[in-house]
Amino acid sequence: MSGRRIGTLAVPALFVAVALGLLAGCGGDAVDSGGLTAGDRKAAQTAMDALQKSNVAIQLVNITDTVQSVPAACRVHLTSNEPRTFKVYVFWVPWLGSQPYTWLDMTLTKDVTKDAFHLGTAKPVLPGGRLDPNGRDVNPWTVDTTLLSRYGPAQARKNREVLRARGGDVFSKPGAGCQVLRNGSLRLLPNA
Amino acid sequence: MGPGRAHSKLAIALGVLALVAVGAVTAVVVAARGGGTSKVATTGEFAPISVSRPVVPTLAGAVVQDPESGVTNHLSTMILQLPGVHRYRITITNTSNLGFINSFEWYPPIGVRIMRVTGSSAGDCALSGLTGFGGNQFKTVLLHPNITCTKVNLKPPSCTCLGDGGSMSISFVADREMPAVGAARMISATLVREPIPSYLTAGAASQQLPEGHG
Repeated sequence: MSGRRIGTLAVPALFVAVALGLLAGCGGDAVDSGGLTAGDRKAAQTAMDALQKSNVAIQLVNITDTVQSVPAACRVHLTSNEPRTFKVYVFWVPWLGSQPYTWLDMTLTKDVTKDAFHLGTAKPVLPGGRLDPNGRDVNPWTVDTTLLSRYGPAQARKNREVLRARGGDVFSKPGAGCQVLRNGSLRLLPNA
Repeated sequence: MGPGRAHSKLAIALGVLALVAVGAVTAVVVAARGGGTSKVATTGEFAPISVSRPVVPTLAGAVVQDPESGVTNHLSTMILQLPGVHRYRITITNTSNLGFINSFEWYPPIGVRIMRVTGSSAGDCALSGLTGFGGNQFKTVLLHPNITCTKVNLKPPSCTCLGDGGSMSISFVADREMPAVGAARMISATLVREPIPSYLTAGAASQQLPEGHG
């Protein structure tokens, strides 16, 4: 037998073993449900980790404190493979009507000098005063500190519309959700 | 079947098993290292961000009193009265720790109406506000006019403690005397990567002092 027979069986077995290693380990071209490969996910997290202790991390915490709301959206979108470029979008819906919608658009690459960070704001409600207890009148001689949620379902719908509109194509594939952490870092979330 | 043949089969089977095991172990190890499934901290400063809101007093489910709003001052305003009736010039300065302010709007004090903008030292400034009063009935009516400036790109201060950020001026005509400076609100900005300090270290402070004042 047997040298020959062993050789016949060992070669396919070796192939199986190596293929298993490559497939599961390197990720190959396999993509998750969000269209990202393991390499994409690692590159995205590395790019976001490079922002730790930067002004961007400080502002992610500051904005959350100012609008008194955690981000309503945090999304990472792969915009280019060569060079690998990510768009990261964070959007806040304020707690009070007097505070603005705020969004941060980031473009992240391997070369940090080419990164860009754009901050935008917009008033969520028409400028005015404090909503009277009857919920219908506005006192024009006051600063509006009405809870945004008191403006009802129409306002909630507007919140969602503005959130989607400002994000552009960031919600399309390939991409994934993300999370702002207490220290201002960003964490990529797994796709379901 | 002889004992020699049986041993050979056993050896083959063991060899195949060993190879598969090596492959599987390689897969797990490489996946753990490169596949992003390594353990990450999720507590303390690595926990998802949260906010602590003030308690809102309610009575039978209704909000009795709305909470006070937080104030963020990214811009400072100074006002100068110009020759002529109700003519003014305001100077807006970037005092933020954000970066470059690209656009902003300025609201006059309550009760003052801005009639027209007569000039600005940077960007494009124009009257803006709410239009479409009464739906489409009075399309051209402008309620609560304020001044919106775009493409201004006011540079950030080197330290928020110094007030040396970029500034610009806007001239306008109001309908009455201005009892206060109004308020400026940032609309958009380009964040800088490096944090902008809020105080100077000893070395930096001595460099900032003008000569002869030491």
